[in-house]
Amino acid sequence: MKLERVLLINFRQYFDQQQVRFSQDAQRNVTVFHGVNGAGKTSFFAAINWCLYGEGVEGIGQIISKEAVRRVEVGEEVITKVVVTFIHEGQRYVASRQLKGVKLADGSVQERPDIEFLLMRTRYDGTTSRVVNPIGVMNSILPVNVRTYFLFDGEKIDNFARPEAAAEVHEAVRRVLNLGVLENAQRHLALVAKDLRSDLKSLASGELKNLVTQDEEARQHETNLLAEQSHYKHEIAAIEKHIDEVNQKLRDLDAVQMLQRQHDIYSEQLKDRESELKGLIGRIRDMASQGYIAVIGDALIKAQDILNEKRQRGEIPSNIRQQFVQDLLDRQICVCDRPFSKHDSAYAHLTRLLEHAVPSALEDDVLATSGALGNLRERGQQLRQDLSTAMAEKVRIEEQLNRIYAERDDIEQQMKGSQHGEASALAKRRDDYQSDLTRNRTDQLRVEMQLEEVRKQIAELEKQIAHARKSERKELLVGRKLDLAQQSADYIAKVYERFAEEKRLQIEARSREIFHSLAWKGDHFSNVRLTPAYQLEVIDRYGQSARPELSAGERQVLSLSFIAAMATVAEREAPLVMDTPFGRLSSAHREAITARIPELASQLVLFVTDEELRDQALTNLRPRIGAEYVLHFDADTSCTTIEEVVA
Amino acid sequence: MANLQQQILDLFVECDDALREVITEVIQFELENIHLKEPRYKTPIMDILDRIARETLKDETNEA
Repeated sequence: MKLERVLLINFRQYFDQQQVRFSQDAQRNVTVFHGVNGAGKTSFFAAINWCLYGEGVEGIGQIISKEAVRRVEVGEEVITKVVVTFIHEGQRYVASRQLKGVKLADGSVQERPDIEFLLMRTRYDGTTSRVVNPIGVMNSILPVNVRTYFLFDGEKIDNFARPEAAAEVHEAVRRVLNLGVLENAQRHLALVAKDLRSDLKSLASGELKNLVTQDEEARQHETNLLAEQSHYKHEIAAIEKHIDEVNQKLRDLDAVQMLQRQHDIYSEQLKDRESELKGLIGRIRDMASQGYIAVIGDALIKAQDILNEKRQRGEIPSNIRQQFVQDLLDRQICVCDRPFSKHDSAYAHLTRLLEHAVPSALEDDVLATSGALGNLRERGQQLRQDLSTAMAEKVRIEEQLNRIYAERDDIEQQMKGSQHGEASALAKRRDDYQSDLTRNRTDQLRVEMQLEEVRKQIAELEKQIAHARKSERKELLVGRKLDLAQQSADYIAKVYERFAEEKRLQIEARSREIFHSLAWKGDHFSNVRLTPAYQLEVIDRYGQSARPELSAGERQVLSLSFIAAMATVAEREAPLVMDTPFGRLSSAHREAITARIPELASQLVLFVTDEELRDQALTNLRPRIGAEYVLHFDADTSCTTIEEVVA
Repeated sequence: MANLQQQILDLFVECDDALREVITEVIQFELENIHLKEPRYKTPIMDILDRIARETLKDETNEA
C-alpha cells in the first residue's frame, strides 16, 4: 500500500474540502506535515485510520466539522467524508467513508448510525469497479489488526520496550507476520476435519461390495437359467419335431389314418384352447393388479356418504353452484322462467342457499372429489363383474381342455392297441415323446419361474446398488474432503513452528541492526534479543539486561527498531505513518533516526511539530522529503487549513 | 525477500496441487476475516474442500 491522496470533507477542524498528495518518489519517499500542538496533526492521522478501518477516532470527540454544522439550518444534513487513494500491487484503490448528521435545535448534531464505506478498484486495464468485500480486501492489503504497527502514535511507541510487554510483542509478531492467520487456518481446518470424520463414520461402509457380490451371483444364476431355458427350448422343439414325424407316419398308415385325423383335430383344438387359456390368464392377471379398486368399494361408499351428509348439513356446498344461484337472484327469474321478486319465498330460499356459500375453490374441490369417488365406485363394480366373467370362462376352457385331452387320450390308447404293429409302435413312441415333452415343458416352466424370480432379485439389487453407489460416492467425497482438511491442518502445523521461529530470529537480527544504527550510545549496547518468550531485550557490553535502565527515548528507539524490523521482515508493502514520533527524543536520537528511517519503509509520512523536526534532524531528512505541508489553525474560525510548502 | 503472502505460500510449495490450493484459499479466507473474533468458517471452508475434492476425484476418473 502506498498512499497517494487524501481528501478531507468537514472532518473535525478541516472545514469544507481539503486535499493533500503524498510523495510517490522512491528517493524522496517522505511526506511531512508540520503543525503546532492542536493544529490538527492527530485529527489528520485519525482521518486516515477512520477512512481505511473505521477506527482510530475514539476519544477525539465529534468528527463532523463544527463549523460545517454552524453554517447549516436546524434540521439540515451535514456530511463528513474522508477519501484515501492508494496504490497496492499496481492497482489503484479509492477508499471513502462518510458519516451524516442532522443539526439539532441546540446547535449540536445528531449523527446517523449508518456509516458508508466504499472501496473502488482500478485494475491494470483501466477498468474501475466497486469492491464487493471491502473489509476483506482491506485486510488482505493491510489487516486491521496490523494497522497500529504501521500507522502509529509516536507518543505510545515505547510500549514494546516495557518489561511487561512480552505479550504485546508476541501479538505484534503474530499479527504483522500473519501467524494468527496461519493459526486460525490450522485450527479451523482441524475442526472441519473433525466434523467430516463424524460424517464419514455415519456413512455405511462395505455395503456396496456385498450388493455387487450378490448382483454378480444373481446375474450368474440368470445366465445359467437362460442356458437351461435354451436347452429345454431346443429339447422341446426336437421332441415336437419327432412327434410331427410320428404323426405324419401315422397319417400315412391306412390302419390308423382315421384315428390320426381325429387325433389331429383334437390336437388342433387343444392348441387353440391352450392359447385361449393363456390369453385369458394374462387378462386375469392384469385385472388382479387393479384389484384394490374392487376391494375398496365399502370405503368409497362410506366416503360418499360422509360427503352427502356434510352437504345436507350445509358444511360443504350442494350440487348447485354458487354462481348459478347468484345469477338467478340477479335476474329474479326462476329456472322455470317464472319471475319472482325480493318479497317472494323463492328469493328468501335462494338467499339462504347463498348464505351457506363457501369459497369457489373448495366448491370445485368437493365437486371434483364427489365425481372421482363416483367414477371409482363404477370402475370397481365393473372390475368385479369382468373378473367374475373371466374366471367362469377359465373354468369353461379348462373343462373343455380336460374333455379334449380325455378324448385324444382315448384315441391314442386305441392307436397303441392297434393290431397294426408299426402303427402301435409309432403310437407308443409318440406317447414316450409326449411324456418327454411334458417333462421338458414342466422343467421349462420351472426355469421360467426361476428366471422371473432372479430378474426381480436383480432389479431390486440394481436399485439397492444405485442407492449404495450414491452413498459410496458421498463416502468417497467426504473421505477426500477429510483427507484434504486433515492434511492441510497437519501441514500448516508442521511449517508453522519453523516459520515462526525463523521469523523471530530474522526480526531479532534486524532489530539489532536497526537499533545499533539509531541508538547514539553505540557500543554500550552489545546486543538486542527477541527471546523465544518474545521479550524484547537489550544486552549491554557487560552481558547484562539493559532494558530496565533504558531512558524513555531509548525505549522509543528500541520500539521503533522492532517495528521497522517487523515491517522489513514481513516485506509488507505498507507506509509508515507516524504521529509525533520524535517528541520525546533527544537531538542525538532524532538525528540518527532521521538519517536512517527513510530507508526502513517504502513510504514515510510524518506528523511533526517544528520542535521535533529542526536543525540537523531536518537537514538529514530534507533530501528525502518529496511533499511537505503546514497545518494552520485559525483561532478565529477554529478551522485548520492545509498549506503546501513549495520548495 | 518476497512479500509476506508469497513467503507464506512458499511454505507449502512441496504440497501436492490440491492441498496447496486448499491451504491457499483457506489462508485467504482467514486473512479477509481477520477482523472478526470468530468468523463463520465452516461453510466457506467446507465449500473450498468440496470444490477441490470434486475436482481431484474428477481428474482421477478422467485419468483412469
